[in-house]
Amino acid sequence: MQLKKTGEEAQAALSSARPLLDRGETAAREAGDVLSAAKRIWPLSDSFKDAADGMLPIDSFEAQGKGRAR
Amino acid sequence: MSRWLAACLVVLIAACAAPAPERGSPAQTRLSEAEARAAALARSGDYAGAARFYGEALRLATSLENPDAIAANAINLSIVDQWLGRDAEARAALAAVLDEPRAGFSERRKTQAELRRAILEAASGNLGAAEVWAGEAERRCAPGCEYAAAILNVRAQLALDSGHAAEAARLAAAARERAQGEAGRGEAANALRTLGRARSAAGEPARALEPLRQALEIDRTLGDPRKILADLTELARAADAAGDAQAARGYQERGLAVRRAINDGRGAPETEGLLRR
Repeated sequence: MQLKKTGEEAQAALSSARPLLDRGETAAREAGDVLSAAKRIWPLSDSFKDAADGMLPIDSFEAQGKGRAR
Repeated sequence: MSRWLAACLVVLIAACAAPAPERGSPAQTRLSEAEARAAALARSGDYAGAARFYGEALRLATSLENPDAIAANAINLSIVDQWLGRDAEARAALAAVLDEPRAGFSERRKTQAELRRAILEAASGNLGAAEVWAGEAERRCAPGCEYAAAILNVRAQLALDSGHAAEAARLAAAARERAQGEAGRGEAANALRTLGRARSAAGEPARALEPLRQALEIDRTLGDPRKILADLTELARAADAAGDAQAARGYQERGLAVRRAINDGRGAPETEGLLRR
């Protein structure tokens, strides 16, 4: 009887903890994705490719102030 | 069978009649080599080395009176000079195109040079000059021009920097419309980021979140940490202003992780180059 009661309590505790665990997993996965994307920049040669006519990219992002863009 | 024989004869005669590929002069060969070395150095993150070879290529192209090569190397030189923080040199490089109206540059090269000058002036905080050059590029940019989205994005940023959030949002939305296809993904993300910033500036942080999330999604696929960091920073600000402290903290932590990942790479030439950009 006691064993059954303990089992039910454990089940309830796990159920309530589940959303928290899910959120944690999502956050960890997203952070991992961002890091993976960041790491893909190295080596830099992977990050920008010359245009077919040998031009470097003309990117409007470079128009942002030095503190933001560099 | 006779038809096949005739076709083969036609191909053979055409091949014989075609002029042999011209061998480049020594100067033309040196120009091609300088351009190839500059591009390789830029790819490897050695921007100072790339600037040297783009400069040499520009000199050789000038000696050959080759307007397209002059313009291409001048524009590339201006880009790496800006990445190196040499704004005066970047402007001087563009003068090879912008100050020589009779040199026979194509409309495309002139548009590229004017857009680059607008970008340089905006980055230096010279908003009036940037507006003038962006206007020149826009007037030259025919319908369907490949730089339409970039020009609109520069104008949107200028409007935002001048305190005109509604105009910035309108221009950014127009840029998003014009940035199509695979080649337009970078400018599409730039447009979405500026749209988000404009909405935040207009006091609508909750409406800023969606375009900023879309920009982040694109920038993650493009793999540019500078832009990922910019997106996460703007998302943190917008979420905080919208009253969602938990989401803001999440974006801040992700931004911090990206910043640390960039800083951990310090010392490697490619990462040093990245940080200077």
